[in-house]
Amino acid sequence: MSKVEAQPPDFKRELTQVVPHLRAFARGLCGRPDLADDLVQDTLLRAWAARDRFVPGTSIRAWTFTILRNAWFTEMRRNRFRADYDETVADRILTSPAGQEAPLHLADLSRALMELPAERREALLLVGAGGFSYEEAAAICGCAVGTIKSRVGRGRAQLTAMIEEGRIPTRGNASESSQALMAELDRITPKD
Amino acid sequence: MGAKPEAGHETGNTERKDGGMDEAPPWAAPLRDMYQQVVEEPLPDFLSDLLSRLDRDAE
Repeated sequence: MSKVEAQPPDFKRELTQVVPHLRAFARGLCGRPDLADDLVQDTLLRAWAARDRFVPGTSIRAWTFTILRNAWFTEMRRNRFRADYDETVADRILTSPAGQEAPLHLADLSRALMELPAERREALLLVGAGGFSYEEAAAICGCAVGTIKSRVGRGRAQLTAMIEEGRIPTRGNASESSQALMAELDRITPKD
Repeated sequence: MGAKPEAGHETGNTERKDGGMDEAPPWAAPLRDMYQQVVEEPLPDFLSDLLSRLDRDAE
């Protein structure tokens, strides 16, 4: 209890600051804003419950990302969170910033990302978007640095080929596996 | 999760931190934009409320 009492203000402040990054990482993993935020909520509760195990001075972003990705993979295996993609929401949300030259629409990129195996998508998000080093990403994923490099390299090649060859799934034209996941998600997700 | 390195990860290319190799792929900047857009979104109320409740729990 003394550990907890010694760190709440700093821990709470750091945890609050990392929430936007958790949301961005979760959004990339899940492809669905609603499920991503549920995952972030779950992560915050887990992090808070385990706050006495956080070592002050270390990266709370890496620590919480580890919690989030472990929760996601665990829940995905339980069919609670599926690696899927909400096209309508993405089309509404993922628009390129005004005035920026962006030949690749972000909604297209999001669709393409969701076609990658989850581990490759995770690696690209951590290293390519989150700015983590290979070593940090490996620690978050609990794997060897070479594994992360492999996943980034393969994900990179797959994503590049998909884009350059115009094989980005269009709305309603996702892969069979993605469509199956969407059907399962529709079945388990309560409707508004 | 699997800790075994995937076979053939040494591609012989010079990999960069952003997942690029010799030059930035066309999706590199949009990927960062996609991430940053979410970072800059306001938090949904239920997450803000949760953070507030954590505060109360700590008191």
